Amino acid sequence: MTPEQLERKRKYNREYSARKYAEVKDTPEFKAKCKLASQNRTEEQRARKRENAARWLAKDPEKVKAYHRAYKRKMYKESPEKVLKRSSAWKKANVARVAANQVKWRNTDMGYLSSCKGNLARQLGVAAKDLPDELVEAKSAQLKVIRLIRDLG
Amino acid sequence: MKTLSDIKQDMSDLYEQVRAGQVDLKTAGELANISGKFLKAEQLELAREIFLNSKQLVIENDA
Repeated sequence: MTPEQLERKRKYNREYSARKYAEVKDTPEFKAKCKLASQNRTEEQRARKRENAARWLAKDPEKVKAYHRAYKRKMYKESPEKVLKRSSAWKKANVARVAANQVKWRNTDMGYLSSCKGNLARQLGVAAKDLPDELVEAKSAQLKVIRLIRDLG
Repeated sequence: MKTLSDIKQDMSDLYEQVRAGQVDLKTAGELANISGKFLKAEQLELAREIFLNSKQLVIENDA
């Protein structure tokens, strides 16, 4: 088989499996089958799954992260209570990681913007959503410069 | 008087210049402080508006 033929075959298989999956993914039988397979998965299979996931992550981290973010958004849209319940359970079980993530978040640009917004809202005595975006962004830009000067000096 | 978008743009430019080492740190600090004054003035305007609006609402409720 030539490389072109092989590529065509792979493409056809990908499309076929995607089509089939779209057809059956919402049926109760398929969901039950998936659940059963997940329960019966051996430790070796689990390890292989983890390895595959790690390989994909190493190959294109941005794509994988974007996929996970989109999946989380979709799940939250479909059943917010379920997601919030799981999230709070995870937070209770992983207190140290939550604290570390919070610190990491605070040191990002979005974290600084959010904290700046909170401070402004507190100073003015209004809800954060009522603050004009321009004011928050300008203040955040100013604080960013001040931070940089402090770090350099 | 500068608008908020002007201040934001100026601060973004200043940030890039400070990172590139094109501006003296002392000058940059002064400029950032001056922008802070402008921002305080804007905040004050906003606080005044909020205060007047809430006062109007209270008067309307009383009447």
